[in-house]
Amino acid sequence: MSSDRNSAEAHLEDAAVVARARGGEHTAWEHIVRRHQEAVFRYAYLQLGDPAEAEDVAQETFVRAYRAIGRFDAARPLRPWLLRITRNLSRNRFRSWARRWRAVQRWTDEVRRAADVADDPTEGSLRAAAVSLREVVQRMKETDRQVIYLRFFLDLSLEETGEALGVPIGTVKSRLSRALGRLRATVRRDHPSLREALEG
Amino acid sequence: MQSPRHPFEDRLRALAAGAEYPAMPDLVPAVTRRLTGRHPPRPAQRLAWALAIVLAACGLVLAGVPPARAGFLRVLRVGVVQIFVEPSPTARAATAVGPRPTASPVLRPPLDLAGATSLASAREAMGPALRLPTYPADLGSPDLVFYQNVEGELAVLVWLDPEDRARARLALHILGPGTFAGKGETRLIQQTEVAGRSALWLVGAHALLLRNGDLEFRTIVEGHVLLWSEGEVTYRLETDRDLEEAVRIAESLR
Repeated sequence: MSSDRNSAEAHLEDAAVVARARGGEHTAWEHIVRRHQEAVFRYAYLQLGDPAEAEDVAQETFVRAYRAIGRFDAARPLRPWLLRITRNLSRNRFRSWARRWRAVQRWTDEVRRAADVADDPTEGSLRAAAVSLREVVQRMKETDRQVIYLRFFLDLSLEETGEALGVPIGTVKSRLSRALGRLRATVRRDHPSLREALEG
Repeated sequence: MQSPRHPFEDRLRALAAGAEYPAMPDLVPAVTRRLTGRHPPRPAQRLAWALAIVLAACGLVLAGVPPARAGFLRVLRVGVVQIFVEPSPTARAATAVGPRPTASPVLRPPLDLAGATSLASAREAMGPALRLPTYPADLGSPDLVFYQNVEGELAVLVWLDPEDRARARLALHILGPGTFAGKGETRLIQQTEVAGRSALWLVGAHALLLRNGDLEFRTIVEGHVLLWSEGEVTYRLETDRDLEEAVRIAESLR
């Protein structure tokens, strides 16, 4: 998604805009929303599996972040902080049975679509593998899932992943190592076509 | 500074980059309206959804666990398990006994479920709620045991097929209050009894979501499922046997 240099530039630009937003300038916040909305929405969608719920969470993320901007440490990158809010909000979305039902239903539809893709010889095998990968990751435990989502699906750096998870970089590395080990074992055991895509 | 990458990680990143997402909504107008105090009107879609919730709730109050009616979302509950049924005009769910499946379903052991432990540890943690089937006589102890207690207790016991260890012979889920299990629609739902208690028998592949705090497990269930509750504990038996055998196994729990 971005090189280190681009990340550094984005960080400086975010810091300037955050300073304007702190001064009460709503239009400055629009700039922040535009820059980060895709990552926030995708992260919410990865966890909730429902576009409407993900949109709600993404919207709420930016509203809460704006209201809490006075507490944000501008020396740190903004995106991981936003993603941390997204993660906390996503966790709270399963409180009502209606949301749970939508999650199950949405996921069922997705599995059916994935099966259709897998069965369709005209579809690219990489697309089917990407669908299969997401399904496998969804079934992993929370700590594995989050670190893989942030590091590989959202392409965050190790530092950014640590910021988003609220853990030191050493912990990110050890969690990644364990998560990848479990992912590799699951893929080797149960998903031969995905293994082909990941290991050649 | 990028850390050195391995081929597996590079391929994983490339594959993850190909993941499909829904069309990206533009959040700016809605966020701006909220920040400036001009709230948008409630979307029609959400209103329709709220209505669906009310209809479903009314149905439950009026009819308990009734047959599904076309056009109405139904939620059948057994303990902490909720079964979400949205029948089509040719209702897929019914309380009558339908045709028996022509082939035995394949049960897949949930090897990637968090909380793998020993039977003794699970038993110590869960107490008398953790009971084992004494039928069939040759069943023995479960081959896989999972126990979680984040916002509620959940134990999953799995007996593997001795002739094919990649398949499961039987699975028993024991769900305490605080856990959540949701199921998508299934081919057949039949009311039955386990030791005089109301129970549901589900036939046909369906989605299963187990949630215990932050731990979540989603899978497609291929086997037949018998659901019943005793006090605050919900039992979920997954098997490739027929209903009569499933009830016999359920009633043998000790």
